Amino acid sequence: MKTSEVLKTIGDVLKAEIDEYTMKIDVPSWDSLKHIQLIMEVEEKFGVEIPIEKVPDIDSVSILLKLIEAEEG
Amino acid sequence: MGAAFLEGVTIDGISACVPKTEIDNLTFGRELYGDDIEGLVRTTGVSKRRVSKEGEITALDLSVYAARKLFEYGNYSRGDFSGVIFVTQTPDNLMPNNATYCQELLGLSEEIAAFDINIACSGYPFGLFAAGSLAKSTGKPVLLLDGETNSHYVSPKDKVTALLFGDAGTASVVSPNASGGIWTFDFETIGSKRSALIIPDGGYRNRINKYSSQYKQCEDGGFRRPIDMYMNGMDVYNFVAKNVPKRIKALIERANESSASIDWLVLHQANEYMLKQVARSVKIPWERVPISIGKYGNSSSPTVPITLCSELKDELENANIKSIIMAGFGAGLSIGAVHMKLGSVKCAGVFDYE
Repeated sequence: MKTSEVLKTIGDVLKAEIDEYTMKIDVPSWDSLKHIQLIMEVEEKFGVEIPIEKVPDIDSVSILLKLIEAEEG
Repeated sequence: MGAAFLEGVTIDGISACVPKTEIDNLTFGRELYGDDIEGLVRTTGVSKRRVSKEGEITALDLSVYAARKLFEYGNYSRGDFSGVIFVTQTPDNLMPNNATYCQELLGLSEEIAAFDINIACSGYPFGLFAAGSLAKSTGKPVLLLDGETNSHYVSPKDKVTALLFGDAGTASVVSPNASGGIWTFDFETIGSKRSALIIPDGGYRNRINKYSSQYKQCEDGGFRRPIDMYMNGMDVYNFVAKNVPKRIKALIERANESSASIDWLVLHQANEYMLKQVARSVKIPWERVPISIGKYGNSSSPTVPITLCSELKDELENANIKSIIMAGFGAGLSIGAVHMKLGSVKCAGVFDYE
C-alpha cells in the first residue's frame, strides 16, 4: 500500500483536502453514506477486506490507514 | 439473549405490491448530491425505487392489493383466517388501526383478532412471530400484512435520507403445519438509542403544531420538517456493524446450523454495500444473499418479504428450502431475525398497484 495513493482515494471520495492527521469530525462531507463509500472504494482499490465490526472505530484517516495496513498483513 | 421458538407453522403464501411511479436516483439525486450521486448510488445500491403520492396511496392500499392477489393465486378461503396482523408505522389513521380496516376490505370473518405492530425496519420477523403464535394457538391461518410508505416522511432535501426510501405493501399467509419445523428467533432492542432514528412530531409527545410542517435547516445540516424522519446515519450504521452480524451468528448457532448450511440470508434492504459487509462477517457467500434494493429501494420492513417475492419466487414455489434466515434492523434501535425451513410456498410475485 502506498500511503499517498490511499490518501488520494480518501480525498477523492470526500472531496476534501486531507492528510494522515485528518479527523473525521473535521470533514463536513464525511457523513454516514460517504463513510460506507469510503470503505467500499478502499477495499476495491487496494484489495483489502476491513471487518464491518471495525468500521465504527474509524474516526480518523490514521485509523483507516492502520486498518488497511493490518488487513494487508 | 432474545431467543424465542415456534413449532408447527409455516409461511404458506406470499405476495407484494409496489406503486407504479418509479424514481431513477441518478436523475432525482443530481441536484442535491451533484457529482457525488454516481458513487452514492453504487454504494447504497438504490438505483431505482417506487414511491406513492401522499394522500392517494397508502401502505394499507398496497398491502390490501397484495393480499387480494395472493387470495386469488393461492385460492384461499377468506372465512378460514383467525387473524389479520398489520406491521406498519405509516397507518391510515392513528385510531383505529389498519388491521381492523383490512378485515372489512378483505371480507374476512368478524370472529378474528385484528391488530397492528409498529416496529419499523425490523418488523417482518416480529410479524412472523405474532402471526405464527396466533396461527399455532387457533389452528387456523393468519394473514400478515407488512406495508410502509416511508417516502411520505422523508425530506427530499435531507442528504442522509433523500436517496434511500421507497414504498411497498406485502401479504403473507402463515398457517399451522405439522411439518413446518422449528422457527428460531433472535430479537434485540436498544431503546437508549431510540433518538438515532426518529420522527420528532406527530405523536402524543410532540403533537402536530404550527411549526411541524415547516422546513428548516437542522443542526446536522439536513433540511427537513419535524414531521420528517431524522436519521443519525453514523449511529445507525455503527449499530448495524456491531450488532447485526453478532445476532445472526447467534441465531445460526441456536438453530444448530452453520454458515455453510444456510441456503438464503434475506436481509433488510438498507444499503447494499453494508449488506455485503454483514454477509462477509457471518461468512455467507454473497450469491446466497438476494438483493432487491436496486429495484425498490428501502421500503422499511417490507423489504424482506418483497425480496422473497422478487428474488426467490421460483425457489419458494419449487424447492424445499432447508434453511433460510430473514433479518430486519432499524428504528428502536431494534433487530428481529428468524431461521426456518420452508416447504413449497405459494408466491404470487410483485405487482404494480393499479
